[in-house]
Amino acid sequence: MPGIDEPIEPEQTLDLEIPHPARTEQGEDITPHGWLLVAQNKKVIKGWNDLCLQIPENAKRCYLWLRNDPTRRIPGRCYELKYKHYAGAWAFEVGSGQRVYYKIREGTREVLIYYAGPHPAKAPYPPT
Amino acid sequence: MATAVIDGLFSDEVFTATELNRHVGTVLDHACVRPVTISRNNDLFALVKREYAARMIRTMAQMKSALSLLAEAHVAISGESPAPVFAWLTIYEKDDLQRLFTEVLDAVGRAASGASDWGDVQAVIHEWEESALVAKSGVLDQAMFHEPAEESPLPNPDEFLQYLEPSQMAAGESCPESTSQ
Repeated sequence: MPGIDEPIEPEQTLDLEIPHPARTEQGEDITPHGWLLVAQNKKVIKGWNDLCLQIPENAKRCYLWLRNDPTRRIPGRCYELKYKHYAGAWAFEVGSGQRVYYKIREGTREVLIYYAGPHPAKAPYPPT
Repeated sequence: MATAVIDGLFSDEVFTATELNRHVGTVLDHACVRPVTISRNNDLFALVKREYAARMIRTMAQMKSALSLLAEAHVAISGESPAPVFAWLTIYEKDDLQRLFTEVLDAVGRAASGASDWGDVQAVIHEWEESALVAKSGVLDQAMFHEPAEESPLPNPDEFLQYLEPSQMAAGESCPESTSQ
């Protein structure tokens, strides 16, 4: 995991272990296709496609991670947002300046992507 | 971890400066295993491997960073304004800040005991700060609570990218909405 003081280069490939889908006792995949990734609207799809162009390898790994284990934390990279009004929402830091925010739907095994694109504009800290 | 190194300073072996001069190899061999103390007159010197010293310094820096955040979180909990560098704390309400305090303190405790790495402490702090920046920006509020829902499958990057011209890939140009599935 990159440290806070070590900014991730946008093109840097994530070194993620991609988990295998869960299996039954007989060894059959419970969810052979993993989780279904759903974009909330066209704006999300456009943001995602842009992100795929900018950092394709990272986007592929993010896609695989969310399909296989969207609520498995990667410290500092894939985590549940802390702000209480976003309860149940997760962040995936695809690159140093790219983010994906999503929630899961357990019942239908869907990952609903609310946002995919550049890091939200940061307020100037300290105030100038 | 670093704590063990610090403990080791109190279970070391003592050599005089004269012994160091005469048997430098032996003293360094001991220093490879654990910290040793070199005494000269009334002064005592610790001789440790550089990597141990670096780890101790890094631990101190990480501890200082975490304690600075905790102190400012305490300030914010009491209703006062934190230092500008921690202004992101102000997005959180009191109960959020108390949870932050607990999480960071737990992470510090685990790192100090050697149960986890200090990187985990930084990750926890990073996640709280990132969450604050998202909240401050309003993009997720807009997406979750105000934008229309027209759900459709998220394109698989492999399938999406294979239809692109190499020049588009290289340029990383913005995609028209019609490229969606």
